[in-house]
Amino acid sequence: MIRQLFYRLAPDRHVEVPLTRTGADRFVPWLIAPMAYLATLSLIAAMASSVLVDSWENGLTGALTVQIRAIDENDRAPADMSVSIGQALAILRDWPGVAAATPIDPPEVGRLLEPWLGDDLPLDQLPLPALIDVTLSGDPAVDVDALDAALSADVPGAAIDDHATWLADMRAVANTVTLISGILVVLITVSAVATLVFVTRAGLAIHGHVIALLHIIGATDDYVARQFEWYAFALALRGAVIGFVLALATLFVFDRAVAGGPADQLPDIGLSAAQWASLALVPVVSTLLAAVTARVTVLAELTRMP
Amino acid sequence: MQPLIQFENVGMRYGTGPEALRDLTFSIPRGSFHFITGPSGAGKSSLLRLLSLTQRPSRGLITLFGKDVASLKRGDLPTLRRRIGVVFQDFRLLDHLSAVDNVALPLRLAGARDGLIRDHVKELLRWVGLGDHLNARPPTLSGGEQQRIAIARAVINRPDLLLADEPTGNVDDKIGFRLMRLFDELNKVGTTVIVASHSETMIRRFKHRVLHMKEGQIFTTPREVSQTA
Repeated sequence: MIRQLFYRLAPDRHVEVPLTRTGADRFVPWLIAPMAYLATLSLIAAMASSVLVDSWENGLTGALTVQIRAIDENDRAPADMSVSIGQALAILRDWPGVAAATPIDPPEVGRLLEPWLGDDLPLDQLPLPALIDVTLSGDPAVDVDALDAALSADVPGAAIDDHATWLADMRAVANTVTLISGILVVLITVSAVATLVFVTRAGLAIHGHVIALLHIIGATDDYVARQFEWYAFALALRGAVIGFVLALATLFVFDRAVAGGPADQLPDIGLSAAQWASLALVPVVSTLLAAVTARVTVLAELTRMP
Repeated sequence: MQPLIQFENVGMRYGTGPEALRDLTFSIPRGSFHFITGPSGAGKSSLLRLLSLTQRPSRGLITLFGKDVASLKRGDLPTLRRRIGVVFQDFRLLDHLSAVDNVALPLRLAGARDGLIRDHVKELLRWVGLGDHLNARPPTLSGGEQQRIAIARAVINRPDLLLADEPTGNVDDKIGFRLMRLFDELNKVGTTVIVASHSETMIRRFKHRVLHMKEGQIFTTPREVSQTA
């Protein structure tokens, strides 16, 4: 199959260096396949984590949550929580830049807590905080610290959660995932290139007599290099396609496996068309990298020949 | 007229070994035909390696096709090598290619069209008596048949200079004579021919100029070859 592909891809279909008979390079597709596989999965992980954080960020930008604790820092419960909520709403609705302020019903708070506390707890007997969902208009920008201070002064136990700290942590996690993915891709690429250089040099050594003959007859270094280049291209293309398809299959299986579980509560992390297109470049780049590596190696080695 | 080949005080050694060729000074005119003869180890093959540009001299000056070989860049070599046909003692055919593809190599490297290549190659292979073996691989052919393929490959693109190392060593006298006639015909149309041979029969029969070599030197001076050393 490789031979047929090689002959089909070779520009003039006349292949003087019998590369397909070497044997040592038959594992090249199995070297490129894991490279493409891991590179694809690494990129998917990096993209998905970035998309996830972006999604959270978009959902939370322009929103605040005001929390009124049922017990304040002195372990005292407010005399009447509904009064505290009313005071907080009054401050919020008069504050420039606040578009809307809506208390979250206790049953809704209970529903939010269900994944952690279960659905059979007497929520009405627990000292749950009151939550107010605040939507910002964006004009003027709300001074969160000033608003927090105003609420704390007038409403015992009130505090603002603008999610900035949490989002910063999530962004840091996403950046770390991206960094680790990048390091993985670089390491895989470097090891694949090093192995390809070794394989190409072995091919040159094995076929040295043929190359010497071609030179005597008048072949240029470029002519010889092209034969190695196309062969590496054909081998790498096979491996890269295998690795890429396996990575997509893995993604599909993973998606099926986690469906219906806690992961369903995460925002949709579907990749954009541009991201899918960039993923499709993985086999292309892997193949071109192999071809270029073979070419550069051959040209460098041939300068040492007479 | 400038000679095709000019040697001035040329010496050549392999690695750090002793000189395989010493103090060679001679010139060979364009369109001439020379035999090189001498005992084994005299330096005939080494001289052919210098002429085929597969080795560089350790010292001295070689001028080939009017160019100083020492000053040639790597990129200049293929063009010059395409003007030289070489017949090797050990044939050096590519076993995985057919007879046609082996002979077609120089034409392909020169960029000739496929149709032209096949016509020329088939015609030449028929001429050297291998018309029935066009698609045969070298390992399936006898030594003599392989040698004829090697010769056909060397002459297919009508080289300016033809170098042959014992070209008739593996063929019977009849075929050998026919191959030498081919060299003769090429020489008549302008190809400079240099044949290294032990065959006194061939050398006497074709009456061309003879360079005698011994211990890396040309020690006789045929009248047609100007030797100044």
